[in-house]
Amino acid sequence: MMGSNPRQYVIELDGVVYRRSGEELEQISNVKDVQGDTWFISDLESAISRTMTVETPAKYAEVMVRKKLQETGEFDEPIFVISHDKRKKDKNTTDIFFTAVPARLYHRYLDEIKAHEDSVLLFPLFSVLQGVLRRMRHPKPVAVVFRHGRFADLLIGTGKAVLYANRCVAFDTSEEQLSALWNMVKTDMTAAEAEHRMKVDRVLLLNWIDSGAEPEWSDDMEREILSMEEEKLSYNGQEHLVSFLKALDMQSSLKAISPPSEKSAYYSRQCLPSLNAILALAALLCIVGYFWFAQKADLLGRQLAAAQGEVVRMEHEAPMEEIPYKETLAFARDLIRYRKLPSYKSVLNDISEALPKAMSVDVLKVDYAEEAVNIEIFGKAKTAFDSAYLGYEEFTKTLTQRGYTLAESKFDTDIRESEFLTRLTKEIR
Amino acid sequence: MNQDKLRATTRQTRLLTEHQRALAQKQSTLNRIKGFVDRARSAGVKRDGWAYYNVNIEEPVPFAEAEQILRQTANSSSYYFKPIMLHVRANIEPDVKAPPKTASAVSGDSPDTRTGDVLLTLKGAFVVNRR
Repeated sequence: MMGSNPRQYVIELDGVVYRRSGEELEQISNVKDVQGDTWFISDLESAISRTMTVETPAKYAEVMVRKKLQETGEFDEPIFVISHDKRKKDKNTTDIFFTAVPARLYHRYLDEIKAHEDSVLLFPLFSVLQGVLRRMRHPKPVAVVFRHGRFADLLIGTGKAVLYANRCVAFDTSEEQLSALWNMVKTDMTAAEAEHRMKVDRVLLLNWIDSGAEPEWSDDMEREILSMEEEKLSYNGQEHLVSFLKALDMQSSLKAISPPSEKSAYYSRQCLPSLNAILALAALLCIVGYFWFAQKADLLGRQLAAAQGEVVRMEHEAPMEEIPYKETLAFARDLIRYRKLPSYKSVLNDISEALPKAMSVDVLKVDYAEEAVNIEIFGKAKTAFDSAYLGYEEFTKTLTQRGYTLAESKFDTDIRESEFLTRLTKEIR
Repeated sequence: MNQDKLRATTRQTRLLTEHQRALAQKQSTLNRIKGFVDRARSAGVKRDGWAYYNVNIEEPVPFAEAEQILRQTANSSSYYFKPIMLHVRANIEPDVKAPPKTASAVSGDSPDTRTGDVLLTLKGAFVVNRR
């Protein structure tokens, strides 16, 4: 899956260990006899695989299964429970699909794996069948039956959940016993259907080199009987068509129960070629990047030197001389200001032209500030109030129309004669 | 290391380019100022080429003379007049004498014995190009 090399399978069934090498199948004594990374599929000798509903939270389901199995006397020694699938039914009830194996055996397998020079991924047989069930993705319950020797491993479920698991056993491999074995499988399926109130409408048969003929009920109209694609295998000089190897090809390495260190070592080896390629690519990118940046830096360096040279040249060729412009500029401003200032005569003319005949000026002050001309006029109107006041109003109005701003205006009268004081400003523009 | 060099070089180039641009702008401004100063000087706008003649009058004067004085206190083609202050007071008593004389008056008359229609107080300066 991860590497390009074909997987190396070692399969332990019914106490016999096989090694697959290409289209050859050979019997070996132990997984220790093979070299290289290996997928080790085993029925774990006297292990049993079942589904069970236990009254406990999912966290403690394995403990409860162990207790129940020991109480029922199925094992007379300590056991280890390998959980394949756990589903919380309600707060205190859990459905579990497991393989129970004597602890002594389990640790022996682990020790063998650890002692192996290469990485070994260990798969319980029923986890392979569960993988097939999942791959079928059939919405309704399906049965997967794997027959080997005098055994038939039965798994019923959907892609999401396993409903029933059991191993049916015949006394021997005689034709009669095998026929009885198939009937036992059928009976189990029927019982499971009744127990779970469902119908198994599809049965997938997996075979091994010693599976023999298909069951008599393979023409059963109630169920669709399927067979997986078979591979040709040579064992002891005889050709066999085996579908179980296809099931193995569908298996995910994540389902292995080997210790984490074994898994890590396996994945590391599988990923090594890809990692090497990635590292080589990264190194290549670094080298290309280095040269690209070096080239860019050199280019910028040349631009920098050119710019520095240009600055030096500018400073050398055109030194900034100090130009005494302030005095000239200030004097030019003064002259411009003198030209803009209203002359005394023009101010007097404006006032004279605005002044009605009945009014006279006693005091006139014209002061030139920086930005404006300030004018103060004190005078009298020797006429009746109505004409004096109207005349004064006309006087100030005329001056404001000529650009003067009225800053202060006072008008006092004793009816026969009136006095006024007017302060005006005119901006110098 | 190359990254640092690249960053430093980029920053230096940018700063130098900005410096170059600022220098060019400064030079352009200086050229314009120099042009202005040259034109102003060639047109005679130069403080040391002009004379200031201060005027300070404070005396009673007849209307006619006041008008004559005021007519002169304006810009002309040969000089500028810088006005500072003008105070005019009418209806002065005939026996009122003028205050103590002021510095250089435009009029050459002696103010001590004079009477007039208005008391004129005038300050300013003629600014004349010496050529």
